[in-house]
Amino acid sequence: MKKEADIVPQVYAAKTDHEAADRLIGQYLPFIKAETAKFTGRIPVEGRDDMLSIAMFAFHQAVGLYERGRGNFLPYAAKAIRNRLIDYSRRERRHTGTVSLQEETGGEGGRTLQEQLDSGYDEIGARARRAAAREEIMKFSKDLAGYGLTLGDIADNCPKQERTLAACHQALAYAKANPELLETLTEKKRLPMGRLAEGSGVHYKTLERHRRYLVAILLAYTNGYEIIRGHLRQLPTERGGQK
Amino acid sequence: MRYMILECRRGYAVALDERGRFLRVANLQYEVGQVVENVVMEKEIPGRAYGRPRHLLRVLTAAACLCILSLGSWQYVFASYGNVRMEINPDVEITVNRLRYAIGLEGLNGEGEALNVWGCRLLRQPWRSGAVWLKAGTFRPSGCFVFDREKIRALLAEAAAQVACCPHFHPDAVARALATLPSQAWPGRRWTLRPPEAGEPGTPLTVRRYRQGCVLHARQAVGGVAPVGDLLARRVIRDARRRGSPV
Repeated sequence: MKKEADIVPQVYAAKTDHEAADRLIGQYLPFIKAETAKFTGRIPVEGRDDMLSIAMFAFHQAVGLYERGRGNFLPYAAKAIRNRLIDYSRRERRHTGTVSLQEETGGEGGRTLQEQLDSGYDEIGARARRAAAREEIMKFSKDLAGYGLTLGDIADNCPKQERTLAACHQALAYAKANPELLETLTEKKRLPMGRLAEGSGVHYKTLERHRRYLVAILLAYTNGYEIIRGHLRQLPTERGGQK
Repeated sequence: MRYMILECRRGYAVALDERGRFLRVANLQYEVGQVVENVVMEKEIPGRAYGRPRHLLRVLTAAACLCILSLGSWQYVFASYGNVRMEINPDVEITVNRLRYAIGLEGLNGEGEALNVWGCRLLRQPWRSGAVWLKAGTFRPSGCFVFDREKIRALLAEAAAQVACCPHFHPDAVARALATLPSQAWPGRRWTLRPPEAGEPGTPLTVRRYRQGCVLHARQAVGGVAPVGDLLARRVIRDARRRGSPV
């Protein structure tokens, strides 16, 4: 009981503080491993076992959704982990019978199937691209920190509904067609909401509700983020920006 | 759909999809900058009403249950299940519910109407020879019984307050009953003397008795008068109604 009373303030702190959430997951990793082991029937290894990663993700989501009225936290988290593992195992069951490229073939010194096949995959080139992307993402995160934002905050503020996402894309398309708006964002560290709402025809309140997301997505379209922009290839282009 | 991993933490990773959505996904040993084609996203919680009071759903559910129960009990207790018609001298139709409880009585002729002047039988003030409220009054030395209308009104109003919510009760029944009462009654043909009972209204009366031409005086306490029978009681009321006797 005392243990349960101790964890509740930590859970509430972890709802808003990402570092506290990481600490809480680290502190309760044995509990998460035990719940995973109950489901899989074997002891999971951190960094190698997908089931453990799913369980940690479920624990994190349970932290976000927990409220005192739902009872004790640990039984609640155990249930969330179990449900999530069941969902994941059902989803993965569809791929039974499929051979993984990472699977060892058994012969020739334990080489994987991918190593034996010549798939034309450029491993060295991929590593170089990944390193370049990592550098760009680090710079992106640093720039976002200048606005007082983290990537976790932006993920929380990202539109969930298709209609809202389309409205934000409409505002982005207008900003792309009017580069002075992007310059205002980078120079004054301020989102020109009024002009954006007026020019794009999206309601001011809709934009205000997703301000952090808009800052991030507009920042990605300023100079210096070619890899991220290249990734965002399905975004719509500007269609006149009329109301 | 391809997802670029932007941030990796112990519990989750942040991925950017090609439509510009920043998503929390399960960190399946990803690295920052990695592009993957399948991710495990956050599970959407159905029925999560943000910004709405959380107990609203419970209150609405409770209200709906109450409505259903009320309607059910109304159907069971108050709704009519059958009608019984008695075509004797007073022609009446009795409505009963599923519990075989009479919930309505409608007179189909004059006598039938006089049978239940109150509407609700829970008033427990019968219009017959044993009615308590008919005995409230005083005897005069001549032997005439004068009804005490104020006392009768108070008795009936007290009883009517207990059944005021009954849907079958006629609120003007008390005034109508008082209007049909005669102002005085002589014990004899239609009215009879009633001996007193505990708790009944009544006053002492001197009754003169004669034997062989000699007058014997005897003091005797009586409860009042009462109609000789139910039929006569109703007839008195009917006659009073026809005459339109003043209250």
